[in-house]
Amino acid sequence: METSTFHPAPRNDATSHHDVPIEVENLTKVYRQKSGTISAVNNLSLSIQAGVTYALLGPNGAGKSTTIEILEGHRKPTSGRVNVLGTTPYKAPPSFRARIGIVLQEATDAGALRVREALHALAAYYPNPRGVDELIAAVGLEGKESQRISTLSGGQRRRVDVALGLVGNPELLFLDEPTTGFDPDARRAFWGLIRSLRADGTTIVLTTHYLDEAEQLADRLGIITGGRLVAEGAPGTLGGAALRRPRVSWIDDDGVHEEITDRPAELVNLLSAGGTHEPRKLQIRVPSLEDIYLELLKQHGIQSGDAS
Amino acid sequence: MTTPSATAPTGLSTSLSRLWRPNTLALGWRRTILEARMFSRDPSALVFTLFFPLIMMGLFSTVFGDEASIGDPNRPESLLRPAEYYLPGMIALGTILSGFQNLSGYVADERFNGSIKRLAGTPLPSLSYFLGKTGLTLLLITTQTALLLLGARFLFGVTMPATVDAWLTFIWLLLGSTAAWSAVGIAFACLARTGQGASTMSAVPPLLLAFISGVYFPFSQMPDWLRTIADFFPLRWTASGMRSVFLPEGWAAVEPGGTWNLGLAALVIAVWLVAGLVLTRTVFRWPPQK
Repeated sequence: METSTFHPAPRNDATSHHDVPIEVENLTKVYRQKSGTISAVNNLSLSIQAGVTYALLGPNGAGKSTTIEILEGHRKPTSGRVNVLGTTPYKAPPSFRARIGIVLQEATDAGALRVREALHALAAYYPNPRGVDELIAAVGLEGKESQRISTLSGGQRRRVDVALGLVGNPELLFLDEPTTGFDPDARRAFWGLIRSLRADGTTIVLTTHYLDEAEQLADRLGIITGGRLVAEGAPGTLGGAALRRPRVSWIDDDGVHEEITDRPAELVNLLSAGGTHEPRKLQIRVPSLEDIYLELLKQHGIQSGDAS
Repeated sequence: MTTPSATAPTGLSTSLSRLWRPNTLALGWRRTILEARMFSRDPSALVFTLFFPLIMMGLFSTVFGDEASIGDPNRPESLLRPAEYYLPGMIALGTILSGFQNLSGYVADERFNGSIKRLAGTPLPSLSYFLGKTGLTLLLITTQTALLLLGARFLFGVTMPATVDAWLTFIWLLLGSTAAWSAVGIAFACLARTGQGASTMSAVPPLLLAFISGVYFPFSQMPDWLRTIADFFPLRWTASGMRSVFLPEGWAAVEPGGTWNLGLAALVIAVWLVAGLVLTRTVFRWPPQK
């Protein structure tokens, strides 16, 4: 059984970059440090279709942020081919950056400015910006327009960051851990905003540590560990059927049992002696995305350990 | 089959958007206004940059009194009041505060707090960012010096130079020195490894140089070896140049070699300006990482 599904871009047909805004082939990024070289991204290939919301998942230090920063043009790849909106990001002209939006992972800039001032200031750099007041409402900052950014709470500050990333009316949006520090209510509201952007046709690339968020928002998931894309797929199929087999658990006098089976009903029928006996704490569980994610990391953690 | 120039319905707007270019000068002007607004909301910057020379001159006048007490006691007619004597040094100090300390502190901060990263992700040209910094620095040095001159003239009764020549010297020294310190300041800001350290670090060179360059103490009273160190930096030359503008001609005798030596002042400032620009060009990154 395949545990990962790769979808290399169909490079030989006439697909224009309008349909595939992001195409990455054999991307490698090596950092030189005093202690030697560290390869943050390792021969990664990826393509993202227009209008898709794509979530990059992976543990800390897996290479998610480096990959995103290369796509944004903030970092230069060591090798490999990167094509975003028809250009090479790190040497693209300002017109490229007019078409993308970036929500930074952590920023404390512009603290002295009021919310509306900061948005107006950034809007002026774009040819076709969104309305500032409409944007303030969209991120739920009504009533905070005239407040200095330094006086906002952590969650409100993140909403400003999101608004700043959207102010240029981007067709391609990058979000690096956008909801860190949000309360559950704000997170729901943020998901609504992302869904409405998706409905408008915006292509969205996000990184997150919240698997429920990825499941809620993303059309496709990519799992990065050790700088490699180890699995890719839709939230409903990621990991393949092998990792999605139901788990039946129960307790008897010998202790806790768990069995993975394709025929849970048959097993339950057997355990209950045809429905005449109730096993204690009987559960049939389909693995959650988190189970599958952790299982994939476990598999590839072992593999990459063998390889190096 | 589709070609890049003739695509789907969005083709026209897309190819138009590809031709779009930001207006570097207009955005530079917008940045200047924004920088000035942010600066005006930073109380510590107002005190330690904008008003600092005026505050220092007020302190010197208060501590040393309003008597004509500085100079050669054997020639009472040449004696200067503290406000008269300190004005040139305070103007020179302003160039390193507005040019170096303020600019390197802010740029270092902006390298670490996400400002430069954010701006580099927008269509804003890096040149517009620098134009904004230049605009702010010009605004600062002009305001700072104007405050100082007005204070000197109307609070402390200092006589202003009367010749066009003196004012021309004043202007090229002021702008040249500020420009050199600004270029060096941005390069200096790129050396910092953390945001915290940078703002503090950028206050150290002005502090040390002010002590050895004839700003707080008469340059002629410095030991030779300290004077030799100071000779390598523009502050000492800006201070002596400003003395040539504001002090009576006879005071040239106290300077090393008995002359104002404006030619050498221009040379040192020019070398620092060029070196600073070259260095900034090499070490400043937009966006901040490779």
